[in-house]
Amino acid sequence: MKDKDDRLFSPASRTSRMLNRLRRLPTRLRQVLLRRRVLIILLLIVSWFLIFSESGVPFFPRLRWGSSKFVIILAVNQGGGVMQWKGPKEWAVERTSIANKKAYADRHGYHLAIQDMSIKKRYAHEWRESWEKVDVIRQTMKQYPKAEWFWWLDLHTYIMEPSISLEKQVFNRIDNNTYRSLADYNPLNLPLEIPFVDNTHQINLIVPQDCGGFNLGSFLIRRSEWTDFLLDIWWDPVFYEQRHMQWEHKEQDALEHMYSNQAWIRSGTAFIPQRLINAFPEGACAEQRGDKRIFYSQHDHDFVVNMAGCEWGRDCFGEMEHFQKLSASLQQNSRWWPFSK
Amino acid sequence: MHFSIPSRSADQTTLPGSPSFKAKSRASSHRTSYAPSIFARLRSLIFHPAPPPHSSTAFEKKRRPRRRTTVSLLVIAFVAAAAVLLTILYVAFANFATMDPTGPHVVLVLGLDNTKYKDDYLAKVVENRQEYADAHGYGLYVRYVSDFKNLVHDVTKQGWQKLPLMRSAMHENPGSTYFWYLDQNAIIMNPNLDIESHITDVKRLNSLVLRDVPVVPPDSTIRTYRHVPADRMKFIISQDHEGFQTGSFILKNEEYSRYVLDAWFDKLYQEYKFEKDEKGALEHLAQWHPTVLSKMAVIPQRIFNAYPNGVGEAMYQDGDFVASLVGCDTPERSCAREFERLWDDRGRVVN
Repeated sequence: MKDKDDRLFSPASRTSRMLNRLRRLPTRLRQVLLRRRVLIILLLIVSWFLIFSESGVPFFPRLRWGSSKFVIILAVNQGGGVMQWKGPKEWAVERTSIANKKAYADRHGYHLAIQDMSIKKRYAHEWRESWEKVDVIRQTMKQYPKAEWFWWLDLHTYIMEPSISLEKQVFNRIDNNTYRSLADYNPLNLPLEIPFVDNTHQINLIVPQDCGGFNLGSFLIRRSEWTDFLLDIWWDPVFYEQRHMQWEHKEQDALEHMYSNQAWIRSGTAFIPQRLINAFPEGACAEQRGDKRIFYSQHDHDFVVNMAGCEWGRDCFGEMEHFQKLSASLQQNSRWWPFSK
Repeated sequence: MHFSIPSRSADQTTLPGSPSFKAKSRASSHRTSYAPSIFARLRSLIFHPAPPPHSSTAFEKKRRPRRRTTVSLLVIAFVAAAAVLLTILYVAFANFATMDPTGPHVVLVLGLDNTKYKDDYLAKVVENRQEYADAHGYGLYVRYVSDFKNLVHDVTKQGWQKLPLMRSAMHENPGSTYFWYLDQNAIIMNPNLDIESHITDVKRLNSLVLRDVPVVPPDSTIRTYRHVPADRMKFIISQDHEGFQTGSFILKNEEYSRYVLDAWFDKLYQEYKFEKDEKGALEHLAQWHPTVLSKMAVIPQRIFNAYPNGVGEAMYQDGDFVASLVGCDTPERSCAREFERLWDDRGRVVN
């Protein structure tokens, strides 16, 4: 309230002095704003970009809006050095991979869950020393209760185009990017149709197929009731007992089996062309040379490369270095031609 | 205003208007003029409320509402009414569109085996089910089990055929809520009981559910859940002294049921040669997969699966809902004859 007395008498108490200062604040603010117009406008522009720009402002820390609905699960320390010694090359590969995913997650505001996949050797052979991916996914879903989609990435992967967000790459046009029918691409020769499948069901699992079947090196899974059922039924002692000797790829083969036999799994699973999230380098799937659906193409700016199987007979360290350098040079080139894609 | 001379030190001067409990301030003692403090102002406000603002004395000419105001008010009223109406219509139509108009609330599922049984017996069984379904407005889904023999791994194991049969029933009746599978060799003795009030109503189910009973009698480690509320249960089944009895069970039409039926019917379970075939597979599922067991309700056998030659709690008594002729397909017994005997004694629908 404006009291004429204030101007005539200096207020005695501290409270009234503070109140006076508060009262004069709007005037002060106005003066500052008018005097430092240019600075204020610059600050406004920067804060606009900070808040609304997807890739953030250089030299400024990125503002996060709270919990993201995407979590990247990065499986590191495969084996934990138990069966094989982890030398400096293995450590270097791990460092590069983690740094790459961290930078990507920071850039887009995704969570990154780095999960340890060391072999615990708790159990004897005829028991559950396998299917760890399932346990890890379940654990991560508990850790991030608000997230919706979880992107599993094996260690030997590299995100080549970090400017592309998951929304842009997969989810914005999820019905166009994924396919449900095996009619066009069926490397495993699974039955094309089984009875009782519901093709209008929500997609809860997005899996790429490589030359030998499903590839769980880079896939997406959504939090849902269907997923709870899948994560529960995925490992079963009867399945394990009958098939674990044949199922080299453990949970991958189990999923392929369930997909061929159980209609509810088909209802919730969709496939994604491999090159969208799981392109292979030349060494993997070597028999299918030149197959445009499988191999990484820098010309097309493929999103992620998965150096699958590099620990058997190829050079993980060399491949990782190669792709790291390639990605850096691609980023540099694209800075001058941001619209060249 | 009333003030009191404080009984305190002399350097605190009490001026008229300043409260005696005011904080000490050196400046106040050097004041030459009177400055009303916040507290003083507050006090004066409380004890001498401000005079009312001047308005009522002056005559205020009532302003005649202008035409523009009327029109704009009418427009606003019309738009608001239209918005409300459209919302109501939209909601109504949205509900209408998603409501599945087809499908009775409960569907009875029956699989007939015409390779082992004579047609007139099968016809009687169908008549029994039809009677019941008509009395309550339920659906009846009847198929020959031989329709599914290509899906089953071992055709001699009859028990497995009921799983694709149920799956097919659910697939073809997307609008129905409950699916009750009842074996061919069973008879509905008391058609006056309806499924909802007798079994599936939440309160009733809550009273029937057996909690903390071993999944495999007499003493398996895994027991049914104690605290899962009945409204979450989607699979209603009973046990006899051997274990789960799959001759009579109810499934709700949800994701869970499709998952259980498909997983239960998996090729690897069929090939595993469980001792009790699909009953053993179900027990395995219930013990190893909490997502299955957590929504299973185990209810007393007599509710919908009593045995006429049973003992103790399993024994069929007059007025029970269903008499199950389990095990009648052995050479010593004859399903048709036993059915015939019970057929004459069955209860009739009371209208």
